[in-house]
Amino acid sequence: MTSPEERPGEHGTDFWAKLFDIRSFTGALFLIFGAIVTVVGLTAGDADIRKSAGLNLALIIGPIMLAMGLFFVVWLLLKPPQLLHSHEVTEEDLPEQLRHRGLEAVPEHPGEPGTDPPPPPGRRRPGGH
Amino acid sequence: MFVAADSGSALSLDLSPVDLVLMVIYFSFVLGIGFALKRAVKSSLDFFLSGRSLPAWVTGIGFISANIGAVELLGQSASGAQYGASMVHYFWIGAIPAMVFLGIVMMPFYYGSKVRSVPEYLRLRFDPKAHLINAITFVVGSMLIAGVNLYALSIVLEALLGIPLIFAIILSAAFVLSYILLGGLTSAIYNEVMQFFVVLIGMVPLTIIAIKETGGLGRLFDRLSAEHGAAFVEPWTGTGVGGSNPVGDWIGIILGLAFCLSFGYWTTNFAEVQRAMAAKDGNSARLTPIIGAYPKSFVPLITILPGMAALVLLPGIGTAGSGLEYNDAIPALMDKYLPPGVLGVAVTGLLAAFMAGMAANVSSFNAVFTYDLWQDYIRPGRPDRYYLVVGRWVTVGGVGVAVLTALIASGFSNISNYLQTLFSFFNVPLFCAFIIGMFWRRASRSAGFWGILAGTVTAVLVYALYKFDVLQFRSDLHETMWGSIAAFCAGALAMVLASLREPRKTDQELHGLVYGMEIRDASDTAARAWYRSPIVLGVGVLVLNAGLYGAVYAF
Repeated sequence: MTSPEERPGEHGTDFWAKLFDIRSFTGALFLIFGAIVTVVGLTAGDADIRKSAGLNLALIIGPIMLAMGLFFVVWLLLKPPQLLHSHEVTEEDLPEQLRHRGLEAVPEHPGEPGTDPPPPPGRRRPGGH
Repeated sequence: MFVAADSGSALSLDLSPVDLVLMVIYFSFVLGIGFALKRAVKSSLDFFLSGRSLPAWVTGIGFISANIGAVELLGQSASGAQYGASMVHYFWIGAIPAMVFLGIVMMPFYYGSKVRSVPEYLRLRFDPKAHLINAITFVVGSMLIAGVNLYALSIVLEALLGIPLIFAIILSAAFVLSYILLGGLTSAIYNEVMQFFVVLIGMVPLTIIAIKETGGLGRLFDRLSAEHGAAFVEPWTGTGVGGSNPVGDWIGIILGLAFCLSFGYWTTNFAEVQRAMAAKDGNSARLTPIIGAYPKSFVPLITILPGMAALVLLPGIGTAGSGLEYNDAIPALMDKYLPPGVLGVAVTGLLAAFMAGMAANVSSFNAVFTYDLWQDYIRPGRPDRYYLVVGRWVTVGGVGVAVLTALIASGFSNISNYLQTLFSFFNVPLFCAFIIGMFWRRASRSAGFWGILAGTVTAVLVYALYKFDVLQFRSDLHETMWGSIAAFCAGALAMVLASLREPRKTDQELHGLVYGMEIRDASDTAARAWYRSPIVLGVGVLVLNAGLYGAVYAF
């Protein structure tokens, strides 16, 4: 749990926050994997090639992974991620049948500016219905 | 079981340093995702449902990937070696239509009503009795399955790294615990997406090489057909009532496997539905299982097919004395055919799949325990922040229990059968309650409870009669199908009888929960492009599956 100041993307200018997208992780992983496996393929011996039915498999899979990594990175750059922002739970997030029962869903600091408008005071009602 | 230690199987993979480096890189990424996402978790909704914020392609891949654990990769390839091509029914007539049905028909009730879990739907549609029975069986069931996944993962780790089993179990558990604890459901889903692509990169070349080595699909099928009979390579052959197909007869396949068992699993299992509930809007939620259905259609090609090829390539597999069990098919093929580097990617995918399978159980377990048991019955009315803290502690407790259940998981000879047995007890009666609850407004408060109870008791009863040789079936799978049909019928009957004795619920109580009163958001009602239409994509994948059945017969 973090304080609000640490939340990424509150102002939309945090460069690192923008990178927190599944495409950047997957893209980076496959670029690294692709580079390693391609190098292994370039140095593959005859035994390795015989092992996999006469194919230099590493030299096929390596470049494919590089291409996949590149695909995710290009996709990320063309369509930058919407910032993942956390938000307080309000009654709007609950099923209709559960609202106004005082079950839960009351933000701890109603006055705190967040992504949702502050809830009206007095919403919290005692349980026991 | 995929066991090296207690079966005397001598499988150990020959890993080179570069393979280990790839594994280390991958698992640093896994933890990195957890740390990166930690900052985006601020409320219980962020932790348990990703703040309902993810795009459809991410939840769709998560949906299918959460299921690619021990069951798919080792269990289905083992079943492929054991039962042959008939296992494709589990996908093409089982899982896929169920996923399409979930997306097109049922998802508006789940997502539109804003329930936060599958049991919560039952609480609103029926009463706390139905809610409790589902929440408790789900919590127990997920821990058992998490234990199976953890056990399988630890066996692989033990074989690879030569570390003691108990240590391997604790190490894997600690890993899953840390990334769920940090990033919650989003962390689990992101890892599922990454794992999906790694598994793909590892398994596709393995399948291609295995087929190439057997002389092509046509030669492989001819040879297996000659050795094991035509029913081994033709999924519908011998499925007449009283026929010889090991998976069962056509009534069992269509009603039992497809309608009861698969619909029951895919439409009511919160570990799956939770991924769709994490989607950012109503249409994305509906697209989630349908997008997942496309890759799912091809999963048999990388599981069942290598399993069948293993019969030819690994002579004697599954027989005493060969040192190899059916569950060893995939790892043994990897060891035999994949060169350094590629082997590392494939083994990483295997480990990641087990880990993701377990993470899916844990991330759904903690949501149900926190929302449906702790918040509803034990400590209601606390601020949201309190439930976030509880959720994190429940995650710790859940992983602890999974470690214990990992030790229980060794009773059955086939992981897949073991899980299917569990699903037939829990999921089929549930599906019965959901489908009748959603489409029959007259179903009353207590109908849910009585339906689930009667169905579960029936399923257990049929299973017990089979085990004590009172009822005869062709195989465990065949029993599971007929047990499911019996459970569904008993559940439906109990629901009708219970409803006739009670007044129906008011329209206000049922708003958003039943057919004709769905709540749809703008994304689901506005005009959309064909490629974002659940119906177009859903019908598309059904046509694709019919084509795949045809393709099997073409070889």
